[in-house]
Amino acid sequence: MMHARAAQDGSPAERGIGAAHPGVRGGPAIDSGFDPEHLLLLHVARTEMDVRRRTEMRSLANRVHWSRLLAAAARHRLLPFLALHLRELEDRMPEDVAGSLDAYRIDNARRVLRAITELRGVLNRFQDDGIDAVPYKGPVLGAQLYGSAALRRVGDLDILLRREQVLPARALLLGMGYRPRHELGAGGEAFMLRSRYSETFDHPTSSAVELHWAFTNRDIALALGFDDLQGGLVPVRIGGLTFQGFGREDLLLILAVHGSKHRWDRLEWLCGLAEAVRSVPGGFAWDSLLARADALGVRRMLLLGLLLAHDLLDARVPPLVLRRARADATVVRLAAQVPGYMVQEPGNAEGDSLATDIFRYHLRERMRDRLRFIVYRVTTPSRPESWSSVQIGTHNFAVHSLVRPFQLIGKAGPALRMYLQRRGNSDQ
Amino acid sequence: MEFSLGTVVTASKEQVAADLAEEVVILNLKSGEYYGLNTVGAKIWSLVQEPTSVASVRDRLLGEFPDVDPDRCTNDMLELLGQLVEAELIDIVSE
Repeated sequence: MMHARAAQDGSPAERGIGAAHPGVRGGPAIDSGFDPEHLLLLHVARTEMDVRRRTEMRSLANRVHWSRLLAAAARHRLLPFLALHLRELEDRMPEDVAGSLDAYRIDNARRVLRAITELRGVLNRFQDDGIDAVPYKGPVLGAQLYGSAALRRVGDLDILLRREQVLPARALLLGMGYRPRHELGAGGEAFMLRSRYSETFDHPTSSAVELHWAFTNRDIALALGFDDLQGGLVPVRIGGLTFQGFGREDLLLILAVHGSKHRWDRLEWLCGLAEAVRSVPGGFAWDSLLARADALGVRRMLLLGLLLAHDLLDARVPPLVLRRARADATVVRLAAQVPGYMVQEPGNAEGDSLATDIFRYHLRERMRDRLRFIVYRVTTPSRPESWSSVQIGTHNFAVHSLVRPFQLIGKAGPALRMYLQRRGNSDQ
Repeated sequence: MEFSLGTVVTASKEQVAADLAEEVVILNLKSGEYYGLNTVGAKIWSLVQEPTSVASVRDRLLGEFPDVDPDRCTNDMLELLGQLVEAELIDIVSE
């Protein structure tokens, strides 16, 4: 019944995205669709499986291209769910695919457990030095949303803390052997703290740690920080360890903003949102939640996420909320674009960056947020090497604010051509 | 390791575990060693997450797997609990 396993990392099932193209699946608002591989992923992106869905999965299993399915699942971070639910279809899948998924399942569990111990180590060091911190995303979110940390693929260890505690936390990480992923020039640190929302640190033998002092850059600002969330924190138990997680309402808002910011192009984000809805059996106090989203200027992002979660994953979103989502023409239009992003091959960065900017601009429902978005995008560079300043006399001048508009003008032509070309292709 | 049916056991604090459908992978935080439990082992593991008597674990198992011979079930369960204690994955709360 019990066996010790060697601690080895690496799995054959993790690959890049395979070819995929829009197909057909209709929700009330989303009239785009998916190929069999992505359709199957829509079925597995959940913790609870019913008989009808199981039957549809068996039917789809006869039509999928297995290597494309594995590639798409890797891109959407759904390999753990695929491995979980396809065990019942082992008779329909090639032996090497079954073996590959089984190896992945065990390997991912080991990585997750290792990451949890590393996370505990970092959080304990922070706590010893009086730094309040709470894990964000990662295995704790997996345990909270899915009931198993192993259903999330481990990446960086994300930690939220107060902006004023970032520098001491940074110093602690450096003392533990972590190194910033991007060396910042003069003034870079101050710029980063003011204008960005996180910094990543690598370690030669441990998972990378990403310190967050906000959830987004100022272009998509979500006015929720550590102190706003602290009162709602809940215990999340993993084995013998107890971590803190965000309260359910806070989590729903955070997930909605995060997924929307990324155009929901990764299904696991949507799966998380759908499971967050499912995890409150009595349902949320939707009126007050929407009012709160309104006050924060993120109602459109919340409605977009909920509409997608309902239409693509059958999340139990109440009719009242769906009506509000469908009453916002921009939400419906953005939702219709998302399936295309979900199956899109990674392509030209500049063309894609422009499309993302346009999508993000439309996420903002308040005029002041739209203006802030434009100002941020025009004056703030995304590359860390540009985050420096120059000293003239006794004044620091941010070089990036002066140079950025000219950089944008230089980039605009090719990016616009690429964007229009893509739109043209997708309209055909 | 000898248990009586009245012995109370519970999962150690020095472990983290991940559920994998019907299996469990456990990492001993002190030794850094990983362990895997199959379906029945995973069931026993889920039952000892809170302090529980060995008799109670046995009764729940017999309820879950009614076709298994009770003596065989008890022996296998005791063997696994012994291995878990030896691996420092569960603690004995009271004899």
